[in-house]
Amino acid sequence: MSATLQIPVQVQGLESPKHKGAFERLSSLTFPTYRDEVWRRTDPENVKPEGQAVVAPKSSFGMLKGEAVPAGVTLEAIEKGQEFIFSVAPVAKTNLFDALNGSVYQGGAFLKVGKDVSTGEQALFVHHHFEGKGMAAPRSYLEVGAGSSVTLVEYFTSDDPEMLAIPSVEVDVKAGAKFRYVFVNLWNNTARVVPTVHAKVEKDAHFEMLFAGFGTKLTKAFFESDLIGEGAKSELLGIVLGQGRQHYDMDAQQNHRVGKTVSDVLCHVALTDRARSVFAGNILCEPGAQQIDGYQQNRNLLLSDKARADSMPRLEIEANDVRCTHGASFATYDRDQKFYLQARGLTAYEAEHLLVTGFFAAVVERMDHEAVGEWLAEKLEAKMQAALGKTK
Amino acid sequence: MSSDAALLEEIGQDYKYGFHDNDEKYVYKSSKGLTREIVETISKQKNEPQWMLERRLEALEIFNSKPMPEWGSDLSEIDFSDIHYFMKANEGVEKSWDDVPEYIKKTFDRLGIPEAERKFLAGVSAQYDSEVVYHSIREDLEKLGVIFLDMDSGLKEYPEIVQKYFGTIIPSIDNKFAALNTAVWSGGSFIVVPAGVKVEIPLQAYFRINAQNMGQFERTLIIAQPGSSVHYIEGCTAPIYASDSLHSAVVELIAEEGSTIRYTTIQNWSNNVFNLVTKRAYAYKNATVEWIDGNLGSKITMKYPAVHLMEEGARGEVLSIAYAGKGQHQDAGAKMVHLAPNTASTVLSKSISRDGGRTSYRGLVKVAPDAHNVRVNVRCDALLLDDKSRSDTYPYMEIDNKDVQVGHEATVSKIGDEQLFYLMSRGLSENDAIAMIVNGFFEPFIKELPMEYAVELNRLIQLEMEGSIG
Repeated sequence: MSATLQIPVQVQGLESPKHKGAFERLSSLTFPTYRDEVWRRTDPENVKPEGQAVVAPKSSFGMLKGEAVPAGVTLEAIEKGQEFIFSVAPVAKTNLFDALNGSVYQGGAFLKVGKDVSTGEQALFVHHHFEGKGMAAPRSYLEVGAGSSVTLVEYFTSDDPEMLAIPSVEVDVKAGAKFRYVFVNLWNNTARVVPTVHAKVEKDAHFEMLFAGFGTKLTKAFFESDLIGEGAKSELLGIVLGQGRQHYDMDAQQNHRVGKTVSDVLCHVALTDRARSVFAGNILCEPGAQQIDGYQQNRNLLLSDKARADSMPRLEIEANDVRCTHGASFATYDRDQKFYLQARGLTAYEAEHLLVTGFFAAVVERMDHEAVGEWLAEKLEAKMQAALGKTK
Repeated sequence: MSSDAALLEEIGQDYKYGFHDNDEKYVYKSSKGLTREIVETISKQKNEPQWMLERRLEALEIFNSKPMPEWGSDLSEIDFSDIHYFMKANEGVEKSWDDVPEYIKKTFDRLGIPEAERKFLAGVSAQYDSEVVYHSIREDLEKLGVIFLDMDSGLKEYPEIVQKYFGTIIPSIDNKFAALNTAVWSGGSFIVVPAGVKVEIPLQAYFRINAQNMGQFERTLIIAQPGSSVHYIEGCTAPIYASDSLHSAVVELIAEEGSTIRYTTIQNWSNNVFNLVTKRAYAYKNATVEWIDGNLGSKITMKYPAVHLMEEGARGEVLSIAYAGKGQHQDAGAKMVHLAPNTASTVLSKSISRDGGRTSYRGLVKVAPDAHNVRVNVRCDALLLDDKSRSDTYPYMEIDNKDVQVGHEATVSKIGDEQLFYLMSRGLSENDAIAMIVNGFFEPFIKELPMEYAVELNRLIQLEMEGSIG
């Protein structure tokens, strides 16, 4: 295939693209600049691929606590589910990084859950670990069959301090199903990551995603949900902790394609040092999509004078029978609370730690899954200690 | 239906001020299009100092070099080569109402200006097309030392003040339309309130676009010296024309220590006007700036009144309403830029879309790194009256300091079924109930207006609502 890319992107493997449509899409795109609205606050030059080889992860698939995977669940490497790629996100509309991923992906998860399967108190678990230098481009396709109720944790780590990662995830939640998806960014504190997660939520289905952004030097995330059947609900929960000069930029798009659908975005961001965050949410109600309930809230906790948070919770409403609200607030932790805790004998570090833990718990508890909540708390503890300066 | 409502129905959707002069009597009218020669001619006609000509020419270069904004509304219909950039209705500025030409007076009579003057309103600066033709200042204002002139006279009489402040708040480089205005500006108000003077009565000016394809580029500069206060009212009405018109004003406010400026606008351009306005204020120590902004008319409005809170204790407030009916897009908002500690700002925006109209709130809250102890509260409420209309909210918040309390809330909804049901169970018709809810929705804005304006605005809203409820 003759590669006539307009983008100045060099990635090994592009000469024999894995997905023809993705490569054609990629060929039609130009590389974004900071003048593009979406990239105004994160310079795309910082995440430009520069000839890296795509590294395959070492992945493990199973249950969070080692139990047996329930009957009716297929969970393995993406290579088994190639035919489903771009069935959720139409390839002609994907962003550049998703198209690039589709052209060169290596590794990722393929989940297919049949009808009426439940993981109950347990959770499916996928861990991708990337060794060696290069670019990570894992691709996951996750489908939960009608009437099933499933929880999945997908967790990424890497060794390479220069790692550029562009994971893509497609999610298909069939009628009446509930899918709880926990996407954990734990690459390392110097990685640059551009994840794209695109979900399709059918009639009476419920998609609940939790994004945990701890670590990475730079994250520019694209989360999008299409609510395509009446009674569908999409929840996006986010907890982000930034330290040093880390930069998080999250784009949360909720598309109400039909009426009687619900979206709810709750994103809590805590920043120390010179960390920076951007939250750009958008609730889109298409014409005729009546009786919509859309909500988005972004709360930012700035723990240092030099930290910076930008918030753009947008609404685009073309139906009138709607209830859409959003809110954004910026605050330091309540000084009275910290004073109170210190008066009870806690050190400044302990008091802050407790308050930030509570700030995140308000989001994690919404997920209402004890085992995953405990696992997350354990994973995040080290990051919290580092960010809040236990050792300073 | 009350007799008032019946009368309104009879008037129908016709524009309230839908009249215009049959023969256009202009002393000077520039040819269409924007060239260096036109800019030079404007400056020469006005006998301007050399530095102003240089400013204009520099701005023209900037205008030509900047691309059209690609965000906000669709501005592709504007044809800059099809606009008259300057025309002069008569020579000089009239001191007395009696000297104003009869045909102009007739138009202003219908706008109610003599009426307003009888009601002891302050100086009337009535802008007819590009230039101020009538300007009276009440004697007590003169005694207080308040300067209230049209901008052209301001430049002639106080060139050093104008040169010192002109374009310092909104430089030509700011945006394409600010550059356009700087290149071809004509008219507008020039106000200086001396230290400690509190102007008790609102100063007001009426603007209207008259000639077909006439651009209107007024330029306003208001300086409130320490401890003073002033309320300026700008009301816009315009006759209906068949082809599109462009209105691109620049308004600069300077509120020095401890002063207060309130700037009230009721924008009711006819539905073919592109209204692209840059408004910005600098508020210094303990000063307060309030923008009270009503957007009812125009085809497209893009306007985001801004307050830069420059020093400690400054306060900024924007209170705005927008109404978009058929074919209209109101892209309005507010910008609050906190550059100093202990500053506070409030934005309250209310909008209604009906009959395919679109309203957008686009706002910025910025807190600079050293601006600690800042409080900001933004609230946007939108009502959609039918399923053809659209409402968007595009808030931008850039917070660089930890010691802040910033709140932003927005809601978009239709009129509540329970509210309607309650009112109708009390004997109101559905239409009367909707009108009552809409009036109540705009109430926080209307109550901030002087009474004549409140009455006029209520009537305008009633007229606008009529199509949907009558």
